[in-house]
Order: sequence, then structure tokens, then C-alpha cells
Amino acid sequence: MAMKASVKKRISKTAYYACLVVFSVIFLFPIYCMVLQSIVPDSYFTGIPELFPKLSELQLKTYTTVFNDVRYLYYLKNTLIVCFSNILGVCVGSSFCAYGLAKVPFKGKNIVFGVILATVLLPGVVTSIPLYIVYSKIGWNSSLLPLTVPIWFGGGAMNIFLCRQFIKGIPDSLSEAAILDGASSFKIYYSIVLPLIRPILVYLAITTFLGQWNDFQGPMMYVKDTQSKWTLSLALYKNFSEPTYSGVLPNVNMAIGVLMMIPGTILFAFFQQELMEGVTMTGLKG
Amino acid sequence: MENEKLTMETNEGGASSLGLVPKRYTLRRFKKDFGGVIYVLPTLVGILLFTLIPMLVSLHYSFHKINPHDMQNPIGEFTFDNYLRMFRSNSGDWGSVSRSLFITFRYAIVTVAVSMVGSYALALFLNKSLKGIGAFRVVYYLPCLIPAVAGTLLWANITNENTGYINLILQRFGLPKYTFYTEAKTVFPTILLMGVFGWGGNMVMWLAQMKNIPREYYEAANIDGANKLRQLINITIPMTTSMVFYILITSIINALQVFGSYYPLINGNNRSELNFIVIKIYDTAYVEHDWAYACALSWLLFVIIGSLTALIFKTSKWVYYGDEN
Repeated sequence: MAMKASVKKRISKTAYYACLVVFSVIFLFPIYCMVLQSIVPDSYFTGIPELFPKLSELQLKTYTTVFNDVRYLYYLKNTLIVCFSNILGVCVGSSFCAYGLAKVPFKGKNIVFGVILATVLLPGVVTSIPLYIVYSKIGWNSSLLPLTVPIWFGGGAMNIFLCRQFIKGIPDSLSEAAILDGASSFKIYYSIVLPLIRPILVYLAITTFLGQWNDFQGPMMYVKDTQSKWTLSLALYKNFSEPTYSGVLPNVNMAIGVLMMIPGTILFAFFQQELMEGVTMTGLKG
Repeated sequence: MENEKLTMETNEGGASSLGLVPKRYTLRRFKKDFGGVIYVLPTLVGILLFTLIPMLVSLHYSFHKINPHDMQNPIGEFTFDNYLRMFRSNSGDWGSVSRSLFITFRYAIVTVAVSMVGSYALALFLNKSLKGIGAFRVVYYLPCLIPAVAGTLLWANITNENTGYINLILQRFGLPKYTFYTEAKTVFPTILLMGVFGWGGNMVMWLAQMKNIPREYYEAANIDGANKLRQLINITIPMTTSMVFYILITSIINALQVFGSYYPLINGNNRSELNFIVIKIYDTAYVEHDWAYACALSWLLFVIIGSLTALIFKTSKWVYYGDEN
């Protein structure tokens, strides 16, 4: 009887792993296609392609093409400027505001919190047209300013909300001693609260990075006509949407895509713990 | 009586108290009452500058004629026409607007439902502590890390009617070709099929929430002889309703504003199937330069999203937030 049970258990475990592998094949399919398309020769895109091309035909020329093209360095620089000013803006802006909402008493706080949360509902397109007109009047269009400045004012309602949840969890006893010593609320913010909320800041930094790294809607709106300000995503979109003008073949585009996946994959693999922790904050009540 | 009242009034209005009491108030009480506002001030200024004012300007535009060629002085006369035009079927735009609304709602409802159920099942399947399970989680999440544009380009290549891998595989097995994004009628099923590869994003959220359920609940259920299905219905699902609520709200708001993933795929054949409302607004504003009408359309979307969210919040009695926090 006992042996029978263990055999049964082993069979179910094997079946479980088999399912895991089958699902993995499905989820790896786009990755496989992407990597494969990035290493096939140019001639591949003129006729009917092979599902499994000959190994000898494969080449890494696309990657050297990308690395040798100095334009992509500029796009990378622009992308990094946008990413890092957003990361800083989100972390500083949202933690500052969230600290006020979570720990500093003041009149009308609930109204302020309600107003901040309500902005989540507003579709971006509602404000985008007036902003576009204002930006073109003050000469911000075709610069990176529209993509880097607004985020410094609060860092986004959802981020403030997450930060507030996290800060609320910090026991008041930690700051009470400091208050008795005569510390100001600002001192408590940067010397006690800020070091303690590192996990949520890491979460915000990573999600902000991934969001900005992959975003092309924002850049397309403001810097589409100024090639020197393009980000990687926008460049990829331009290569793709105007193939005759750009003269870039799909295999090079796929190589850019593969390269663009690397930072996110590394971040996700290394900070899985922090990401999970940040995620659980989203489900908590305000 | 009369006299007493008079004295009180003179006292209150006395020069000494008038000078002193408010002064004490401003210094100490004011700081206590409103000192914390300094922390939310940058956010409030940001909301004012980048949300509230543009919102009102957009509303203002939507009631006027706008001349896009005169950037310094674009606003013309007052008119209701931008709103009337949306709903007029003859000489209006109702045909296109209603089509956009229909495909956007169909997209939001069906993809959110399918993705929530699918990713939940996937998370349940992965919510075990076995060797190597972490690596599988990363693998399932990988497609979510493909940059949106690269993903769109990739799917366009893979689903190409003649040269795409999927059709090559189908042909290898002697099956007929599928048209995917090429023909209007196969666009929506293709969107659903491609959506599967995005399940990893929600899966990570479910898993994080499932990990937080105390183990004792399941141990107690085991002792009581409750089977796996009962444990799912009576423990796991109720304990994750707060995440269900969060994902439901954010996914619907995001799905109603779908843009980037499909904008590059639009061509003459499939426009009627991919002309989602935000894509329509974008083209109206930045391609046709009909800004006033685009503003009116964006307010329509705002009203829809606002009322839908209010409706979901109103009916959110089923959400369990754990012990009061």
C-alpha cells in the first residue's frame, strides 16, 4: 500500500513537471522567435523563411551593426536620461508626499488624498492635447523636458498610494523618540523613514525603469520629429513603421529588441523578492 | 442681561485680545494644522499644472472651434458642434465613434476577463514550493519584458500570413493558413491569442498575494477533510479579493486606453477592428489636427471611465481587506 502511494505521488510529480515544461515551451516561443529572427541572414526576409534555418546560415552581424551605429548610442543616452530622471522623480516625489499623507497630521488630508487618487481615473489623452499646445508655446516640444519634468511633482498617484501604504506600516514608536529629542518632521522623513522604505523604493524604481524604458507613446508625442532626441523604443517604432525610409531590416530590429530585454530580465531576476513585496502593497486598503 | 452681553462684546473686540489671540493662533496652531501641507504641496502644484488646468483647457477647447494652424491664437468661436458631431449619424461621426467604442469595450471586457482567469489559474498552478519553481516563474514572466514596440513587430512577423512562423507550422501539419492581423475578421481572436503571453504580469501579482495567506487556514481545512476545490473556493479566492479588485480596476482603466500595442499594426484592411478609442483620438488630434473634436472625444472617454469605476467601487462589497489596517 505504502509503495503504491509513493509511486502515485511520483507519477503526479512527474506529470506536474511535464506540464511546467510544456507551458515553458509556450511562453518561450516568442523569445525563441525573437532571438532567431535577430540572427538570420538578410536574405531570409525576401522569400519564404525556414522554420528551422541551417545553423551555418546564422550570424551575429545584426548585433555588430547595432553596436557600430553611433545613433543608437544617442538613443540609449536619451532613454537613460528619461529613465533615471523618472526614477529619481518618482522615488523622491512620491515618498515625500506619501510621508506627509501617512505620518504628518494636517487639516484636509483626506480631501488631498482623494484628489490625488482621483487623478488615476483621468485618461492621459484628456490632458495631452492642451499640454502639447502649451509645450510648443514654451518651446518644450522636441526636447526631453516634457518626459522628465512633470514626474518630479509627486511622482504619480499610484506610486504615492503604494508608498503611503508602506510608510503607514512603520510603527510610530520609532519616530516618537526622535520627536522627544526635538527632531523636525522633515528630519524624521530623511533619517528614519527613507532608510526604512527601501524595499518599496526599489519596487518603484524598477517598475518606473521598465515603464519608461519600453514607453514609446510619450516620446512619439513630443520628440517624434527631432531625431537627436529619440529614445530606443521610438527609434524601433520608426524603423518598423517606415521600413523604406529607415532601410532597417527586421533582423536588426529584432536584435535591438533582444538587447532591450536584457536590463529588465536582469532586474527581474535579481529583485524578485522586492518586486513581490511591492506587489502585495497594491492590494491593501487605503 | 443686555449689559453683560455688551461687556462680552467689548472684551472680545478689545485691542489687546485682538492683537494677541490671532497671533498665537498663526504661529502655533497654524503650523500644527497645516504644517504637513508642505509635503503634499509639490504634488498639488503638479496636479494643478499638469492635470487640473490642462483638463479645464481641454474642456474649454471641446466647446470651441480650434484653428490648429495658428498656434499663438488657436481658439475660435463657442460651439456645441464637437459633441453633437459624435452622436449624429448623418453628416456626423457616430458610425466611427460607435464602432470605436464597441471594439474598445469588447476588448476591455473580454481580454480583462480572459487574462484574469487565465493568469489566476497559472498562479494557482505555480503556487507550490517545489525545486526550480522560481526559474519557471521567471520564464513565464519573460514575454512581459519584451518592449511593447518590439513585441508588436515580433507578432506582426510571426503572424504574417505568408512568411510567419505560425502559418509555417500550420502548413507543416497540413492545416490551412490563418490570416491573423491581415483580415479584419481574424483580428480579435488574434488579439486574444497573443494576450496569453501577457499573463505573466498578473500571475506575479496573484502569486505575491497567495503567499500572504496564512498556512494554518489550509492545515485546518485539511484536518476538516476539505478537498482542493473547496479550499480554492473558501480560502484562496476570498483571501485574494483585494487583489482581484485592484487588478480589475487597473486593467479595465488601462484596457479602455489601449494604444501602443496595436497602433503600429493598423493598415487599410484592419482599421475597423483596431481603431480603439484612444487611437481614434490620437489620429484625430495629431494626424488630422482636429484638436477641438479630439478634446471632446477624450472627455467622452473620461466620463465613461469615471462612471465605470464608480460603478465597480459601488458594488465592491465582496472585497476582503484582511484585518482592519
